[in-house]
Amino acid sequence: MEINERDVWVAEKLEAVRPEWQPDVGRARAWLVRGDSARGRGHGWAWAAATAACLVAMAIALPDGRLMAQELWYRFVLRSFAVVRLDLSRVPLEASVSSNVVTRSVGSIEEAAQVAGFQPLWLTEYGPGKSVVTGPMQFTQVIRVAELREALGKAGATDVQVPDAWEGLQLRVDLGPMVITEYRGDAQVIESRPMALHLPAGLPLERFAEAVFRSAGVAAWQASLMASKFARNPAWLLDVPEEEAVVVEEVAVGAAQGLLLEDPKEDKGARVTVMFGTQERVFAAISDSRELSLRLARSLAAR
Amino acid sequence: MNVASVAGVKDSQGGVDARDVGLDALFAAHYERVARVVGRVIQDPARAEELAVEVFLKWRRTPNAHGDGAEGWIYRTAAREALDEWRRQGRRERFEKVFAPFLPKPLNPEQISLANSERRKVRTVLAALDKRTASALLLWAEEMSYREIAAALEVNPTYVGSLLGRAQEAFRKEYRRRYGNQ
Repeated sequence: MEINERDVWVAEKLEAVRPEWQPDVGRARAWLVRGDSARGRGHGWAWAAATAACLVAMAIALPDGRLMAQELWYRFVLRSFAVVRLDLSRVPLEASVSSNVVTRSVGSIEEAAQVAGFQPLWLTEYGPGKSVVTGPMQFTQVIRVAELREALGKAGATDVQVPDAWEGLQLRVDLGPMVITEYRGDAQVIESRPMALHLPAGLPLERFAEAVFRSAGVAAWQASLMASKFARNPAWLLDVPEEEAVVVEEVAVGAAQGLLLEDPKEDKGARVTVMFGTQERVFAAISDSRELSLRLARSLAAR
Repeated sequence: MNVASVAGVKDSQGGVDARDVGLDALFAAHYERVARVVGRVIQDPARAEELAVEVFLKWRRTPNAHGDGAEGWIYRTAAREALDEWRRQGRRERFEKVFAPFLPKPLNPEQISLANSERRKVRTVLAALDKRTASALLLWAEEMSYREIAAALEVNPTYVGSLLGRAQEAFRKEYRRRYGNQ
């Protein structure tokens, strides 16, 4: 690297990221010979599952403590999706996941059905498909009153009351198993039974949702409207921060209403996800092309 | 090395797809350096090597990249894939609290301190730059010649000096905007 005086500072910074390891050429060659890409070794499903986790984690509500103690639970089946232009990761909820996390590659639709416990859809017209099945996941979120109050205070939402009785209350969401299939053209379909949101009877869902939105910085009037809408029709709530250049559209997918999220890449193109639900399943079709993602979604809906 | 002469042509002796011959030669000549370019952006060595291999496999699937510009294509793609991966990782981190039980093991204090390390800052700044600027810096840091950088970025070699000058300035400005005069 030619270094002149002007370059030294930048060169030193870049030196900090010089790899301290030696590439393992033998192992890499073995991967190359097998034609085995990184996506084929599990990173694809991991990201898909993380995305799903995001969706799930934000579909939240608060049970009333006494009723929770009596274990009187409501169960919501969530088949629709909604997007809020917020960064809900700022909401201080203690989240955890327990899961049979075993993820299996499967070689046939029959095997996928056996592992997943439901009959998945394979779109053979888009290639042979390569699937993995994730185990069922259970998401639990715990309310910490002090942290929620602090977040509300930082957001200037001091008018929102968080009762002491909310402390330690838990919410639970069940998702999966999920079948994640990769198709030609770097396309991916995620399929699962609808997610189940478990809440104690009599919970102040709207009130809690409003507190969540306010702590994320939403204005009082807007948070009230959003919370009311959410309480009337709980959905998988995907948070997309305002500063992220993601295009969100409602699209028709067969008889269902779906959401299309177009996430632009740096130089050109975009990663496009179409999500929709039916009575029996929820789907996400993902590719680098709006047309392909929509085609995949509509093919799924037509089955 | 000119892989154009063999790419896409059946070998008359053994019926081996000559794209594999080209791939093999390209891999032998460039894999280690490609892995290091990726490794400047991706912390995890195993993941960096996976991405580096993926670059070669992608080359094999991209006939338009076969030919005299193959080496440049490989390095350009490696830098871009690495930067894309870094950005994806940034998005994933938002979900890590939820996803933590899926991780092989919880973050240890050393890993937590790494989160605020100089390396992270440098990578964050690189990812904030436009991809051509960041790629130029990565290749320059890897001590590639101006001719090689020109081939990778598809610019005239005489333009590389000024391109790098602007890239360094952009890096300096972005770094100081984010982290001050450190």
